[in-house]
Amino acid sequence: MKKIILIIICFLLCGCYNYNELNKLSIVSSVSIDKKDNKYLVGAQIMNIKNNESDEGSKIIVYEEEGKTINDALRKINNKSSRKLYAGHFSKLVISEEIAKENIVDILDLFLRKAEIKDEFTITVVKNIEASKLIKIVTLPDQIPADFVKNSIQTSNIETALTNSSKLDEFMSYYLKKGIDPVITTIKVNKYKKDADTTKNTLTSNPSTYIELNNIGITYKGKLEKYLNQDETIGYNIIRNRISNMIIPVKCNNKYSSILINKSKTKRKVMKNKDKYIININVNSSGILTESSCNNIKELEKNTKKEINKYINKVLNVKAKSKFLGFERDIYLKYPKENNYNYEVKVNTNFKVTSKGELYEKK
Amino acid sequence: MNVNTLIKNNPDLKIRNIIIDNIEIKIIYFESLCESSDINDFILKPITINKLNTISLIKNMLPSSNFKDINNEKDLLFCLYSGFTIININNDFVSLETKYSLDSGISEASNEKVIKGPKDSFSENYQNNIGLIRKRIRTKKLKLKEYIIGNESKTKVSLFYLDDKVNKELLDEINNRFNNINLDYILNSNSIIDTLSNNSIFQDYIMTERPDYVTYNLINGRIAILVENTNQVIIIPRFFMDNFMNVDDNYQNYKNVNITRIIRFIAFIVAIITPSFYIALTTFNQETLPTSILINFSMQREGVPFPSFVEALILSLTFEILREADTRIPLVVGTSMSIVGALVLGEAAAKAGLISPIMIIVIAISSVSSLLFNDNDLVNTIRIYKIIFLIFSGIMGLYGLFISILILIIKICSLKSFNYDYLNNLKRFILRR
Repeated sequence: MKKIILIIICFLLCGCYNYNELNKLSIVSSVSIDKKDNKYLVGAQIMNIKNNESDEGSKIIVYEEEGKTINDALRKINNKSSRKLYAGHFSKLVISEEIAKENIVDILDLFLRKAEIKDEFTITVVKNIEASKLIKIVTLPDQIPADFVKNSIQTSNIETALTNSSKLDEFMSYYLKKGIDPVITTIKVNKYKKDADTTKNTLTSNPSTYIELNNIGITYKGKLEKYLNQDETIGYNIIRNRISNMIIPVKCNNKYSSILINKSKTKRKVMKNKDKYIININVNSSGILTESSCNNIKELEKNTKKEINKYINKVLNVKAKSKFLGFERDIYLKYPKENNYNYEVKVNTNFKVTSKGELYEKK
Repeated sequence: MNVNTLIKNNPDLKIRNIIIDNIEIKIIYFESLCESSDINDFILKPITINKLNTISLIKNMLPSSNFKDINNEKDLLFCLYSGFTIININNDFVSLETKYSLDSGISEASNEKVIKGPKDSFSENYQNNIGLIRKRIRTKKLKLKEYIIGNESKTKVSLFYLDDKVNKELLDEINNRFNNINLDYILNSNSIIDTLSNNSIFQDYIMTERPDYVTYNLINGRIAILVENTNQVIIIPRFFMDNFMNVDDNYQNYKNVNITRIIRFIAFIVAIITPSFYIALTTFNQETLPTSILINFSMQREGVPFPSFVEALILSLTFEILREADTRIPLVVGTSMSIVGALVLGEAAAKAGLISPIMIIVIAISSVSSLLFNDNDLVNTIRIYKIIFLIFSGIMGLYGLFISILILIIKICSLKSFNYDYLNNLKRFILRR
């Protein structure tokens, strides 16, 4: 009997901790942060505002508040919403360029401390407009912009090598590690018009305003330093071994053929040569011919190697203080006691066409 | 022994006097228990025609297979109540069997349906039931021990086993327990099993009405207990895996049956866990759900007045009431009631905003899965655990759900069925040729 009473007491003491009914929650999907007169302007995008599926109108609502700190503003937002803000499904943080250049890590501090938030959300910098405007835009096919951005980052990561997603955990671990700096995803809004935050934006087949993923930005000491262009982004992805699929146009007989690289592995090796380090970058890749106007496979392979080398060289020539390529980290991992970081990069590329296609063989 | 005193409270007791050569012969029987044409043809006719007027003549000349001498009043009453006819000359008594068959005959099994396989089932007739088993196992190894239990009811209970397969220790123990039973009335197999089993929520015995299933288990070394006047035969011991077996499995392709068993196992888990899992995810651990589903759920819960936990309890209770009503209601009204209950109540309640549609789906999945098992006691077991799980996860979310899963596993592992581990025989889950 004593045991049973003890068990019951155990239940009642901890009882219903963290209990929330679903219809008493406002699910926050993304937060935007802008700066205005030394104050933070914070917007919270809330997803579950409809009563049923067939309701017309926007699927999201955005509450905005000013505050001396971000948490201050979020607290004020709680007054506007009748329900408790719930950040368990928080998936995207949008910060304006201005703040990103000032300090990113200071802002992330709050999101790291909150236990409710998964540390897997994407950090994005919006380039040409205020962050709060971006999270109000109604998009298709994912009517919730946070989903839209999350899905398009996923797709572009798999299908192209044109961008890179910066999740909170990865961002912070790169920031804290010695010899490497994190990169950050950027978003661009095209042709922003006033009615972009109404469903009018999605009623036509040619929406006037749309969100587009852009090239990555590099950071130095937790601050945005500069943006890479498209070729440099591809080069960064090749060096950091993040290619799963990529299409490159390759010149052959004065015409262009397409090559789909579906396997690519990059290894970086550090060697010491007197008081200099040599970093060997070995790229092993193979691909298939997807669009061809040329029947000289050897020339194609040679030119593809050249293309890949061109991407890599472009990113190596970027002049920045940021250690976004992480070579210093490679040296540190192999020779932890040394303090001298003079290095030279050597690139070695291999490429093979694995499948030519029947059309070609008939020629 | 004064026969005339008996007649007072028993209007259906008949006493017929015949006088042959000045010797009075009394023929005593219960009209309600005896076949009167048998008495006419095989007792009255020979006696009057051949003028049999002594006990020895009657014993030798009457064509009856079942004779019994009666020495005291106890015997006399027992024979009378068992459907024997008593013949009394002076102070000598002898009894002959003229039992009238008071049962429904061998009919089709109604509770345990099979697709293939034999259709016969046990009836209320004790002798028939023994015959149904005997005709399937024609060997001298099949042993039968008979007991008469019940101080007043004098019910026959018999123990079946195969001599070379059975565990002798278990047999001795059952034998001991039977000899020590001190009950006045044995009404059916349940009154016997209550004294034998450990009375846990999970049953440690099988009850079946199918003779083929009994023989299948006898061959596997188990013991069958037959009780007079019952069509349910008890098989002991029972293991956890028996919950997922069916008679039908033996008549089908064994490879396909393995898949069916896996489905049954999944249904068992689904039946117990689904409602509590839903409650845990939606009221405590929302972060584990995919975002789009969470938004959908929250839309559907809009305007529902009860907390999810209460909602689930109410719906489960409603379903149990419907099920109980469905089994008790006469067949004529039967099906229409359940349709009214399911369709009208569910649809209307969801439209009125009393419960969320998703909750109906969750409870329906769990309830339908539990109906996969034709053993009603197992269904009740599932129901009890379903509610325990619900309460735990209603208080503590996923943490509580896993605690209750642990409780269930510990319970199953620590159970004993007649000194065997309940989780014994796990390998029987997979059928082999």
